[in-house]
Amino acid sequence: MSLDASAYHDIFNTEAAELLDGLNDSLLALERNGANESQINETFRIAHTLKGMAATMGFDRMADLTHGMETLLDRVRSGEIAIDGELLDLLFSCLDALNSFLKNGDIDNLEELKSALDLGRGAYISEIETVVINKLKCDIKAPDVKPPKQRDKAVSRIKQTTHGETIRVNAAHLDNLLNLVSEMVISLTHLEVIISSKQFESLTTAFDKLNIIASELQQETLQMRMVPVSYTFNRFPRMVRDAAHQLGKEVDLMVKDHNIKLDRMVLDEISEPLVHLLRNAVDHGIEPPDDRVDSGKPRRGTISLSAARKHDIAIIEVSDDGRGIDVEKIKRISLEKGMATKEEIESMEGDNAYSLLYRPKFTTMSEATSISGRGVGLNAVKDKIDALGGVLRIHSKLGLGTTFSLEVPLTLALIPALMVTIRRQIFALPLSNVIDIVSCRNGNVRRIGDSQVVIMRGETVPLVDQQAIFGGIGPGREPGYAVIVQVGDNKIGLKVEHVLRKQEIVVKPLCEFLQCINGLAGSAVLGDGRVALVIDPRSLLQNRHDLGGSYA
Amino acid sequence: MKRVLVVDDAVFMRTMIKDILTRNGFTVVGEAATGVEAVDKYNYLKPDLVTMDITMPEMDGISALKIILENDVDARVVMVSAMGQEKLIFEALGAGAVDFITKPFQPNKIIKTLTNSLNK
Repeated sequence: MSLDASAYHDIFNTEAAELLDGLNDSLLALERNGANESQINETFRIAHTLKGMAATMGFDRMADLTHGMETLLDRVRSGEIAIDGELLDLLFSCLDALNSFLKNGDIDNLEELKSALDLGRGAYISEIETVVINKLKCDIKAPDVKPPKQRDKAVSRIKQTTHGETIRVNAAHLDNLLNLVSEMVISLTHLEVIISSKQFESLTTAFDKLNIIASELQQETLQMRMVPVSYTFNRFPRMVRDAAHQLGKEVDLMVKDHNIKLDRMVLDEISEPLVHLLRNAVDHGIEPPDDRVDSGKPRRGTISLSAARKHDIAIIEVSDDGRGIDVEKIKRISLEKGMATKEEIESMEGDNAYSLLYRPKFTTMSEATSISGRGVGLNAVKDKIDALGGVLRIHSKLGLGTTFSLEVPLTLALIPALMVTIRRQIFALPLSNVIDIVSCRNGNVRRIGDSQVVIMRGETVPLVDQQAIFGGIGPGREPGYAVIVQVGDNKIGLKVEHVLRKQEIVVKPLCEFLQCINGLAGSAVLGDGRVALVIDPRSLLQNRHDLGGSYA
Repeated sequence: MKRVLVVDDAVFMRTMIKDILTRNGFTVVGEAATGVEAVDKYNYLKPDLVTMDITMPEMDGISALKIILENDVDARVVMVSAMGQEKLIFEALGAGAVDFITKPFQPNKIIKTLTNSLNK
């Protein structure tokens, strides 16, 4: 009998990817904790298992490389050579090569890696030889070792893993789902029997049962979309390590994910912002080792990445024990560059000044001067988080460190919304953006020049009507309420006739020819079959800008 | 039908061995991913034959082989090894393994080895 290896391709890929993740963790542990027997054995075992699998599939080049790694690790295990930074770099390069094999089916630098593995580079070659080898490598492979390219690779690695078309589903959820669907079918049959025999008293019981099942079914399906944040977090230790190496920093990354699960889409959306924040923490937060020692800090900096859950919100924090943000410096430079007016800056107190970092211009400026402040891509990070209906906060103590805190919804599939009517049409406003509802009577609404404002607890908030969304439809009935919407630090009031209720809605995208309408985030089907349009709170503020509004 | 326990830390390997065996008239009664699991499953499954990987987490295949033989002198364990593990194979044969097969697998050879092992 012959064996068709191609039938095992999927199972091979899945397991090999898992083993490579394990190899990554194992190498990071070796680097962090130094060489210890059990960790070396674990690393050896993974290389060995990969070798056996690759050979079985007939992937000779992958088998060759893993064989080289195994042999090298065996020499380490027997004490023949010692593991050091250079050797670890080599093993990390092998790991990258294996990952690229899984992706592209080939290893470009196999020969180079193999000869380095055979040499046991980093242990036995003298300094002169090392210089020669490194120089040769630079001459030949110079374009490949540029730091920016490695960075891109780290990013694309994350993208690749999180944008896959399949996700693993906990078997228990699938079992529950199947159970619920079966129960629902039974309930439906029950209903059919009742309806045909016209026993209407029993109808309520059957209907209640069906309702319960339907809501459990919905919960279960939502659960299936949830993936542990660790899927994304697992990639970060390596990325932080590489970034620290490139910048000559010494950094430990502590990850605490508390088994938090997020909707896969949310996790996809925040992984890039997290890469930004972590890289910023290494680049701008953590000081060079000698500077840290001079200021009485431990030589190695610490960056913590944590995830926690509060009701329907996930709070993800990136903290560093680095130099902190110098608020005065940010203010001074913003003023010099004309990014903000003197009055504006003078009115900023405490943490408010951090909002200067979100301004697009700050990016280039901060990169060019590389001051202690941050700002590299922070406006992009902020935009992403805003788009998710989330919040980004900054806390910093000069000299002690900075914490970026991301608050994002656990899921986007089902969102709580406030249902309102405008010109007798029902609209939904995402509840996460609604901070208050104010009556438009009792002199709460005032006119300032051409614009209207509403007074909310003593604060003056600009007020807009549906024209802000749809342009000139003309005024409706005298509106009864102003719904105060907040996006980031900006507030705006929207005039509505009635506030109906709070309701959970499933947001569906608008069909293609309606997508060009600014101001709508989508639509939702209500219980009675009617369709409500979902207002995009951000566009209320944007339109206001377009109209020449002077707040913000 | 002869009952086999398949021991390997890689799902991929276990799946492949299992397929080869079931297509050739064997029944795979259990799978184990570590030496510890192998010893445990051997004790309650009492298979006719074990295919035993060598390099595994928690407990390696040779240690598992020794414990299994301590509990059951008639146990028939065939070692599964990769290239370059000759020394370990000798050690295993010395400890009481009936035979060995090497990765990458040749299905015919596996079946022949296992069938012979049952008659030893």
